[in-house]
Amino acid sequence: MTERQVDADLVARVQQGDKQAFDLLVLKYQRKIQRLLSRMIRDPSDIDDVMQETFIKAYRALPQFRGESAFYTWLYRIAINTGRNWLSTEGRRPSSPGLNISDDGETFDEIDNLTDNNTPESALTSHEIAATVNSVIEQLPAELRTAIVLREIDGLSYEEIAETMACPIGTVRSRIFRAREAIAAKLRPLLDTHGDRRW
Amino acid sequence: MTSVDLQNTLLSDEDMATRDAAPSLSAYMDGQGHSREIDLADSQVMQCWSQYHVIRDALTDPSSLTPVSESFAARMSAALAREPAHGQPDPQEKPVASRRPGFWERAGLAWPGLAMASAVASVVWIAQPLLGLQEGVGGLAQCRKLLRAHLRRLI
Repeated sequence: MTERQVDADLVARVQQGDKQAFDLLVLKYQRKIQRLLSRMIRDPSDIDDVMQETFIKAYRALPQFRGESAFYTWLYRIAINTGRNWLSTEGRRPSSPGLNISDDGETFDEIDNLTDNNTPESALTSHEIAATVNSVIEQLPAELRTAIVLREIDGLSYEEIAETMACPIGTVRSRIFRAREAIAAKLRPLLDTHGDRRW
Repeated sequence: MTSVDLQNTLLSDEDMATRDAAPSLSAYMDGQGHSREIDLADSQVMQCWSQYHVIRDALTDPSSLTPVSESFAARMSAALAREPAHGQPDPQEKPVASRRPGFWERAGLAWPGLAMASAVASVVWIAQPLLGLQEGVGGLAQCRKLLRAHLRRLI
């Protein structure tokens, strides 16, 4: 099962009435959607409003989602349209002057090249978290480090990692989990110290 | 420190239930296993899921590492709670059984009787030449009488 299939599995659960599965999708994509909208809209409270509207629109439309495109592609398209409608209703201009979103929501290159409106504080936090994750990975025992790097950075499947590391898939599963837990343990104090922000 | 002390990363006793779910959750986000093995209603599972994705974003998409506001999280949760679950009957919709039948539905109740009368008439019409009922006006009159009697019984 690929990441797209994991999303499809969660989508199927939502379509069958499991609202908690949608919470997982929100947690997974909220930061990406926030970054996308922050390139269109300047005020953080407006971004929150449009982001909430995006997710609620997606939730309501989910029974019609048939999986022809990846869930995140579909969600990004909803976010772009919601952001564009908000800008038009409010009679505002996009926060990034060069922003010109195509109707085909599949192409995000233009958006990805824009500068987002991260505050220096949030940029520092991002840097701190990324540095902590990389530092913990460097300190992990070699077999855990290799497993998590092959999975997260190289994108290998468990089968491919098992073949590369010459070990059973169950061992790969355990190594990746232990690596994640070790990193998460070091990250928790950092993730908990952001007052009115949450991850 | 040359390596991370994994013993210090173990969750506390009260988080044991989450710890049981965490390996499955970790595998699930990599496309291994099935979400049915995981209790999604558990808030600790949600927290774990969130942290694992922060790790993933830090390694693959560090620019997306910006926390969301507490107010967004609270409002999002409240807004979602107000939404009906999919795949279930709409409570606003009246059950079919309690619906008052429309005109055509009520008219339809007489339809089987009319259909039966029509069938009898057709049979008599076709059988008339075969059974010799065509002998004179009397035979035809007898046939009409029979048909009327049938119709009276049926309607």
